[in-house]
Amino acid sequence: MSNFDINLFNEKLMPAFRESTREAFETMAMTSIEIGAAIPKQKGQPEGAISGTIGISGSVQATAAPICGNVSLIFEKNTVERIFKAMTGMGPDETVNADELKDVVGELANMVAGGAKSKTQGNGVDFNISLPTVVVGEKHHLEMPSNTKSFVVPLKANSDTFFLELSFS
Amino acid sequence: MADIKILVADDSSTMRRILKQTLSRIGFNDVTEAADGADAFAKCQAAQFDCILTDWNMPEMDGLELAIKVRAMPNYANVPIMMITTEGGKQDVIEALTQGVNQYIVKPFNQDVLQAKMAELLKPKA
Repeated sequence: MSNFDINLFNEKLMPAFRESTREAFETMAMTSIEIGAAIPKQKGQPEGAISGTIGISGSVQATAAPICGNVSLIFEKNTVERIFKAMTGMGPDETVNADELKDVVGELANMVAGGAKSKTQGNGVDFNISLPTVVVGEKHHLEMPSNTKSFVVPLKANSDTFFLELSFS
Repeated sequence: MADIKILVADDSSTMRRILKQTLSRIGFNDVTEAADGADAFAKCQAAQFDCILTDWNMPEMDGLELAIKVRAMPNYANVPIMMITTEGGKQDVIEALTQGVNQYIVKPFNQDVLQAKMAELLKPKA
């Protein structure tokens, strides 16, 4: 059975993740992003070529209710290449290798989760974050257990669309 | 500043690259990279660095354990250590500072923040 609390999600978790996502991309990649509204995840969506996931585990301070979930960033390969080049100052014609793509996706997921952790800690929610896991594969999507509530937030930077996915059990 | 030997420990090659580039832009060019805490500790045993910049969450050995182990080495007792991490909670900062870390930057960060924190880190003690 899920312990998911939609009010907690809407009032504390989602605002923290939105803000940390904006900070990560705008500070490190100097890329302005548009953050869409969170929508319930549809089976098999969203698809991407590379995703980074951080596990989170903790509790609500006032009630000690547990919080367990994942935060993921899901990209197409070309999008990650452009973000990596913006972060590192690499030239547009230089080649980004596969390890660099995996690394930057894991690090961005880490910054989004870590930033949200800091913001919620002062707002009644404590959680720890895991090291990142990165999945590579054309048109893959993330599957979550049936007792998980998952939401997808579309993100847009210039002409690129990518996704923040939040899942809580 | 050219002669200041800096050790940068982060398991993200992207972050090491960004740190190395940013440090170079603000005048620090002698930078050695370590891929995790264990690698950084081995490099501290093999050479003397003037300051250490470390991530917190790393495989093998994390940045906090690195700071504790390095501080126990007589030749590193007073070497400035800065944590550069996503762990930005108040308790995290207090724990790191209690364990011998001198300065703290929460990722994401920009060049101005790194420059200001480096100046603080390397300021001669009164």
